[in-house]
Order: sequence, then C-alpha cells, then structure tokens
Amino acid sequence: MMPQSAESIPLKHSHSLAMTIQLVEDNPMDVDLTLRAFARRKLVNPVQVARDGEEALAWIARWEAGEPLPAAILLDLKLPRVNGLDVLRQFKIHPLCRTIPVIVLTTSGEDHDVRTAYELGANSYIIKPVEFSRFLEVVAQIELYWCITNKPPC
Amino acid sequence: MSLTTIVSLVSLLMATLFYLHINRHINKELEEKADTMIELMGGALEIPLWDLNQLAVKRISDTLIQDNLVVQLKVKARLGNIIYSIEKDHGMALIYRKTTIQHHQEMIGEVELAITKDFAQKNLEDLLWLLTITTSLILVTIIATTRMIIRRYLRKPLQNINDIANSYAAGIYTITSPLPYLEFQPLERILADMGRTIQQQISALQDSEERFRRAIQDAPFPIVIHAEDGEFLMVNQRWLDITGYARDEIATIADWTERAYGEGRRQMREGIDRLYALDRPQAEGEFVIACKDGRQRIWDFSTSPLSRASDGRRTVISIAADVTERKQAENAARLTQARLQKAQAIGHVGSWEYDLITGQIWGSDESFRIYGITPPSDNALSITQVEACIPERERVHQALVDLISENRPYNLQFTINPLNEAPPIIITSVAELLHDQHGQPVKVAGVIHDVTEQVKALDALRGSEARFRGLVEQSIAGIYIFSRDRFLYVNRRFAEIFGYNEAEILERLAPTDVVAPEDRPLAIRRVEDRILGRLQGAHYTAQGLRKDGTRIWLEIHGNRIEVDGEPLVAGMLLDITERKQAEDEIRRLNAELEIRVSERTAQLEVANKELETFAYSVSHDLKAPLRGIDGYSRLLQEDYASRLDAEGRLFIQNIQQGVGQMRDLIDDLLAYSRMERRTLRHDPLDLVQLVEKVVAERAGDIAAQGATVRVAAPPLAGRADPEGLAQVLRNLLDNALKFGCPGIPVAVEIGGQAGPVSATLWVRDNGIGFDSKFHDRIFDIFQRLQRTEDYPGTGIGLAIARKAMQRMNGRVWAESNPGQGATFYLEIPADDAPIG
Repeated sequence: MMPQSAESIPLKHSHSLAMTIQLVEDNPMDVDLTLRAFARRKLVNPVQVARDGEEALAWIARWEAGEPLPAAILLDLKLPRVNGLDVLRQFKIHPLCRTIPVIVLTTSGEDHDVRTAYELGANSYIIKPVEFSRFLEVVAQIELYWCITNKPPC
Repeated sequence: MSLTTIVSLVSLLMATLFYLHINRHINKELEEKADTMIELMGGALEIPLWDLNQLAVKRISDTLIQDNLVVQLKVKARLGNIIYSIEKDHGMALIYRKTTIQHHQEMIGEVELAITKDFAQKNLEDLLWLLTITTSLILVTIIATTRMIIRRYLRKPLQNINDIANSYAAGIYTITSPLPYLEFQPLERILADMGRTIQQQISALQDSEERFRRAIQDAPFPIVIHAEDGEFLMVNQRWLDITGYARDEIATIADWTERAYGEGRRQMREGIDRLYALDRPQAEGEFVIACKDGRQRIWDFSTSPLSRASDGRRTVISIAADVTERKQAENAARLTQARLQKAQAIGHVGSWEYDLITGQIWGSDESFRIYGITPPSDNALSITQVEACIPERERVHQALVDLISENRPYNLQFTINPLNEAPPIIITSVAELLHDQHGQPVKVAGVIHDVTEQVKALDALRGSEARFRGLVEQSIAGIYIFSRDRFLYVNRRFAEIFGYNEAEILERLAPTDVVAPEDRPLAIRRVEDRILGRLQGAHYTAQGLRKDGTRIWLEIHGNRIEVDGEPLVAGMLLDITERKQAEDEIRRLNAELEIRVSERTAQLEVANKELETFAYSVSHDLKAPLRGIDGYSRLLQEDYASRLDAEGRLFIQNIQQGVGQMRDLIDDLLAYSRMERRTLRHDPLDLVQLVEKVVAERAGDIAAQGATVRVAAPPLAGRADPEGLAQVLRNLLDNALKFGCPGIPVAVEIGGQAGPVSATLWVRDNGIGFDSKFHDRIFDIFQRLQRTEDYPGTGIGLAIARKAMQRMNGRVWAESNPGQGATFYLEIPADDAPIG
C-alpha cells in the first residue's frame, strides 16, 4: 500500500508569494510523512519534491531559466542514482544556487557523513528520528527556523 | 769637609768669646759714664735747686738730655714735686742712676737718669759681622789653595799606587809603574817586597796542591772529593776507569747516586749527607754500585773529612776499595755448596757413597731427608741401618752385590718406609762402581731420586687417559684430529657417520675426501685458516660425502692444536641431516603459513569492509521503514482512534513498542559498529571529571528513579578516547540503574585508583548482580541474562564497553554474585603510557 502522492495533498494556506521549499527524498513514506508533518504545521510555503539525485540536479536548469530560488532545500543523503553528498557538492559549487540554504535531513549520524556534509557547505544537518512524534517536532523546528526566523539570501 | 767644620766651629767659638769680652768692657765703660753723669748732675743742679731757679735747672737738664746716651731724666724738688722730667724712645737695656742733691748736708732734691746700651751694642754687632766675613774669606782662600797644590803634585804617585794595587789584585805581582818623588821610594820598595812574598807563597801552594792532586789522581784506588752541596770537586782516574762513567756524567752526588745506585739512591744520598758532619775518618762498608756498562761492582768505602773549601763548603774525601773479585770468589764457593744442596732438595735427589772397606754409607743431606733419618755429624751410617728402611731389601742388596762383584748396572726403583714414619716413598737408585788406581773396586757412588709424585701422577694420568679415551671412543659426536693432508685420529662414531671403518679413514683418506665437492673450497679454506693460525676455532655447517656417495649435513667444530710443533686441527662433528631436514620443513611450512595468513588477512579485511558497509546500510535502511510503521501507526492512533476498539488500540501500542525495541537495537548495533570502526583518540584525560560529566548527564533519570550515585575517587589521569570512554561509563551507569533489586532504591558508587601503568575505575551497584559463571558471556554481543519484559535491553551495551576498552588498550571486567550487586572495573592506560 503506497501513500498518496505528496503533491496531491492540498496545502491549507498556500501562498503564491511564499518561497518554495525543495525536498529531496527517495522514500515515498518519508516524503508523505514529511509533507504531512509540514501540513500539521500549517506551512504556507509550497513544497517541491525530487525523488532522486538526478531529479534534484535538474532543478538547477530551471533556476538558471529564471525560476525563483527556494527558501531552503531539505536533502536526504541516501538517494538513488546520484547520492545526496554529490547533489550537495553540485549545488554548492554552482554560482547561482550555492547561496540556497541546504538542510541535510537524513537517518545517518555517521561522523563521516556529518563532516563531509559540512565540508561541502551544508547549512544544517538534522538526523531524522524514528518516532513520528519526535519527527513532527523536528519538522516543526525546521519550518519555524528556515521559513520564518531565517532571512533567506536575496 | 770635617776640617772645614772644625775650622768653622773654632771660628765661631772665638767670635763668641770675643763678643763676650767686648760686651763686658762696654758695659763697664757705660756704668762708669753713668756714675760720672749722675755725679756731674748732682753737682750742677745744687745751686739752681737751692735758688729754686727753675730756668737754670731746665737749661742744665736740657744740656744733658742732648746726649744720645741719656734717655730719661727726672729732677725732683725737696718735697718730691717733679721739676723736670723727660723720656725718650729707648730699647730695653738701660742703666739707672739716682742721687740726692744736697746743699749743706741738707737734701734739697733728687735727680734720676737712665742711659741706653743700644748704641754700644749696635756698634759691637757691626764689628762682629765684619770680623766673621773677613775670617771666612781667609779660610776659603786657604782651603782652595791647598787643594790645588795637592792635586797638582800628588795625582801622579796616587795613580801609580792605584795601578800597582790593581795588578796585585789581578795576580800580577811586579811593579810596572814606579812612583815619582823621593818621598814615595820607601813605599815602592815595600810594595815590591810584598809582591815577591805573595808570589813565592802562591807557587809553593801550587806545587803542594799539584802533588796532592797527582797523588789522588793517580792513586790505584777510586777516590772522590765532594762538597756538601753535592758537587764532585774531584774524581780520580781509577774511579772513572772502573765505573766507565765520563767525568761530566758524574758531576754531582745526585748524578753519581742516580747512576750507581738506581733504586737505592735516596737511601745512599741520605747516608752521604751525614758524612759532612764527620770530624774523623770512618769506614762505611761495602756497597754495590752499577757501572756504565751495567756490571755491578762491590766497593768498600771509607770517608774522611777535609778542610772547608775556599768558599766555605765542607768537603769530604771518599776512598773506595774495589772488592768485587774477592767477594765474587767468596760467594762462588758458598753458592756452589748451597746450590748443590738446593738442587738436591729441589730435585729430591740425594747422593750417596758406599765404602767397601768400612761398610759405611755416606749420604748427602737430601739422602738422609728422603730416608727420614737425621744425618749424623759425619753423614755416615752402616749399610744395615739404611737397608732396614727398605721392605724389598733382599732385591736391593742383591743388586748392590751384583754391581760390586760383576759390575752389573745398578738401576732400581723401590719403595722405602722412612724412619720418621712419613708415608712410603718410591725412589729410583742408580749407582756406579769406583776403582782405585790398581783397578780394585773401592767405592760405590750413586744417587737416589724421590719419584713418588711422578709415579702417582703417572698412575693418575693413565687412569685419566683411560677415562677420556672411553669418552672419546664412545662419543656420539664424530671426533677427529687431522693434519693438512691426512687423518691422525678418528673415533668410531666418525667412521660410522661417513660409512667407513676407522682404519680405512686413517690409511686412505685426506680430510677433504669426506666433504661434498661443492663444499670443498669452504672446508679447505677453514682448514687452512687453522693450520696457518689465522683462526683458532671454526664452527660451520657443510655437506659431507659418505662412502656410498650419499650426502649428509654436518655441523663442524674444529680447533687448532699444536703437537710437537706441528699444527693440527682437532674437533668434533655432528650428523645434522635429520635436523636440517626438519628445519627446512619448518621453514617451508612457515613460509606457507605466512602466505596463508596474509591471504586470510586480506580476505578478512575485505569481509570486515563488507561487514562495515553492511552494518551501516542495514542500520539506515532498517530505520526508514521503521519510521513509516511508527508514523502511520501514530496517524492511525490519532486520526482513527474513534473507529478502533480497545483491542485495536492495544495492537497499535504493541506495534509502537516493537518499533521502539527495533529502534534501540538498531541504534545499539550502530553504536557497536561505530565503536569498531571509529578512529579513536588517545587523549590525556581527567577521569574523575569525565565520570562526573556522565553522571550529570543522567541526573534526571537518577532523580526520577530515586537512586543515589556517589562518586568517590582520588584524582585520576588516563589516556583514552573521551567519547568512547564516556560511552562505556554511560552504559555501565545505565546498567547499574537498570538492574536494581525490586523495591530497593538503587545506590551506585563510582570509585577509582591510580596504578603504576594504568588507572582503574569501578562502578559498584546494589542490584540483582549475576552469577559469575556468566562473566564472559555478558560482554558478548546480544547476550542477555534477563528477560526483556523484566529488564528491557538489547544485549549490546556491555559488548560496546568491551570493544571500546579493547580499542583504548584498556580492559573491562566484572565481579558479582546473584542478589549481591555487581562491580564493573575499567582499566585505563596511565596518561604517560605509550600510544599503541
């Protein structure tokens, strides 16, 4: 039983002017749960999802074509095709999108992953908790901080 | 100069006397003048005073006062009233006069006057000055004139006297410059006489000294004259001839004692120094002196004091008699006798003579000593007394008879029992028959020799040789002696090793024949090394060649020995073929093993790597579905609670509990795997501080549980990975808090102790403990002693602790009994321990 597609979940307070949040996550359940968690926080920003590394890198072309930059990118590390660290590397060397805050959101707490992510320029590193209640808290913190408190690059 | 002084003093004295005389004369004149004046004034003033004619008094007085001598004048009337008084400036020296003026025996007044001596004295002084100057001028003139005359006329004779004195001082006693003037002729004669006398005395003295010197110089015995400061004033020819030293080699006593007495010089020197105090001749005795060529002479010294030398040094004459030859002759005789006795005593050889006529045996001291008999005064005994000491006296006696009657050689060895009951002695006795001029036998002369020791030694040697021969013959090592080209000895084992018999080897083989051809150069080199003495011993392995052509491995130990001047090699060898094969096998196996180990290690590394990746992936990939399960069960619980009954809600709870356990398991597995893979640090740590930090982390849990945790440790330092050690402590503390006895508040005590190479920490609780037979199991991964319902857990915590301690070069262990709490110990390397 697959959950419903994330894009189809209606965002209750969609706001056309709000900057998007880009989510890079291959696990459909995680995508669904993340979106649900955002929904519970009544997130105004639209969420765009990429289901693997390639898809995420394809955004670069769209931004180059003039699409507005997102408020933040939530990036899983364990991705099919191009893994998360490579995606991060590509984003952070690109002159246009290197300023976009990238929040690594992953299950791995390995020292190696944490260190490499920060070395490549990750702006934050958050370990995804297993318990849904704690996951909700984490998502709430991300929403509060990166969509409201933080001033994104101009 | 002194003349001038005397003249001056006399002049001064005369001037003084002159002055005193004139002074007295002047004084006398002035006194008279004063008397006259006062008398005149008395007369002149009588009438005017009587008439009270003051004007007349004044005139008269004024007239008088005109005189330079008068300096004071006073006229008084009858009643004492002053009629006239005048006083001029004057010096100290005054003459006073005073008289009454009478008229008709009636006093009518008084007149006083004073006259000065100043003028007279001034004149006198001028006169004296004049006199002094005049006298001085005269004196100076006289002295200058006299000097000039003396210089002019006495210079020549004085110079000549000077010359004569100088030449006398230089030892020339003739007058070269005659004195001028007749007055000096006697002086010249005296000087000439003096010169001649001195010359005569000197030549007499020289003659005497020369005779004396020649006497000493040519004396037939060594003589030396020396002064107390050590100088050899004279050394005669005989002295030099005997000693062979040159005169300048023995310039001083020090030279002489150094050369002649060598080591004994200090003592000799002290003896010689005492000689200077002698006042009569003394015989000093005999001394051994060393000559220049190293020969030693014996000199008999006597010494006599001489007069002091001209420079005041005390001198001594020492005369020696060379008694070397006489002494040597004496000594030689004495020595010959002593040597003979000594030789006999050393060699245990005694000589004896048997007189056929008297039947007496004469023996040397040593002979009697051997027989244990005190020698009689004439060293002679009857033959029966001597033979009494010989157990085999018949045989010995028969030999003597045979010698005398048939002149059969007498050469025996027999045992004697010494008379003094010393242990038996074995002697050899050899004798010859002596004949008189007619060919008649008169004496048997012989020697006996104590050979007890030699016989014993020989016996011992025979025994020892037999033992060693046995040892060598039976040895399991091959033993050999060979020269360069042939074997001189081999034992049985040696022959066995090579498959020959001993005779074959000794007769036919050269040493290199038993060496495999490829090792022959090595063997030849080693043999040459020792034959030529380049090497004393050689130890090496080589391949030997058996008679049947098979090869064997040999371990060879050979040493150079020398027998009758011929260099040989003696040694032993072992057949190590089997050992060598075993060694080769071991080496081969080792090499194989190494390859296998490295292969296995590589495999293991690959497997490890795979396992790591596996653990990592599994842990992460397991978590994602778990999150889904938990998430959707939560959503179900929250959003669909109303549609579920109690059982459905219980199912959801069970799902979530399962998720929780699964999550703990995965987290612990991850922690374990990380502990295996992480690069650990080895930092110096304050252990107590770390413990307190971990306890503080758990403060909430501790308080919630009502437990107590007491940290009581001395300051402790260790070298560890801070995070790893914190993890270990955390696990131990969690265990202590978890495994409490039901109903009893948990009490944990954390302590520690510093050791020489490590620090120990312990965590002690009052919990349920465990049976010590499970001690090793509790540290294994997934091993649990309790049911999960009672004590939830993954069974990984202690495995992590053990892994962490292993990787930090430490140790963890526990002591416990069921129901009696548990104590977990951590051993942590001291902070100065090497990092490894």
